[in-house]
Amino acid sequence: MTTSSKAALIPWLSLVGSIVIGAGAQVSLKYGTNSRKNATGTLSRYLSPWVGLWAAGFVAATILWLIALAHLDLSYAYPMLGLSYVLVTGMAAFILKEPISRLHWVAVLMIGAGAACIARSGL
Amino acid sequence: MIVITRMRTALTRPELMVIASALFATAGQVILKYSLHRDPASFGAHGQELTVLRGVLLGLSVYGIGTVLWLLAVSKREISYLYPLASISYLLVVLSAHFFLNEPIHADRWVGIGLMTLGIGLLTYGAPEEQPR
Repeated sequence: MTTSSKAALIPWLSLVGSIVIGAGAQVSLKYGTNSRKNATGTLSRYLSPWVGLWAAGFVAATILWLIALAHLDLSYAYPMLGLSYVLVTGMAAFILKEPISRLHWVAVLMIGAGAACIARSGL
Repeated sequence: MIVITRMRTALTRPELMVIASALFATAGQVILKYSLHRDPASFGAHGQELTVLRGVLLGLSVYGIGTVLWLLAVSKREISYLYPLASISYLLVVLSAHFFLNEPIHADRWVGIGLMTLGIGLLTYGAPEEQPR
């Protein structure tokens, strides 16, 4: 792999990283507030290391988004953020054990298919 | 007096707040892209970084206003009712990228964006009823 083709991967990896970290941060936030469900008072529900992880993930995802946006079309990169719905639904089902209806999975498939069309449309 | 109260009630309708939130989010993203989208050759030139930084901070702030409006709207109405409306931000961003930033939009991109917007709208109807805990 040449140096230039490696460099060409940076915006794409930043975009994927931003989406994955952003989705992971949401699940972390929910996991954190779930684990402190019995805490007294609203504020203490947020005093969890998982909530700290959400904040760090939020900052990291924003920085990666800026790197991606510097190189990619806005009309290509922004719709791709919709993939986070697919990731969050998947993680909510498998990690948080939330019930997901069949219609919800159909919606997730449509979003995935939409992302594939946008990816096919080129950078 | 009554007119003012009515106007205030209309402006705080959650549906309008969601649309305003989508408009701010769109404007924020366009400002971000515009600020970052400079000739890379001129990067490093004196004062260039400061201009980019200023644009990025402005873009993030405008986007932040959109986020605050969304949070306010969500506190007034169920998220499942407001969510499909929020997916118009995808359409708004792509239209703005085309008209303000001159990005070419090909047919597959439109199809993809349409599928995604519909899918996000449909998520709402697939959401299970909130179980009392």
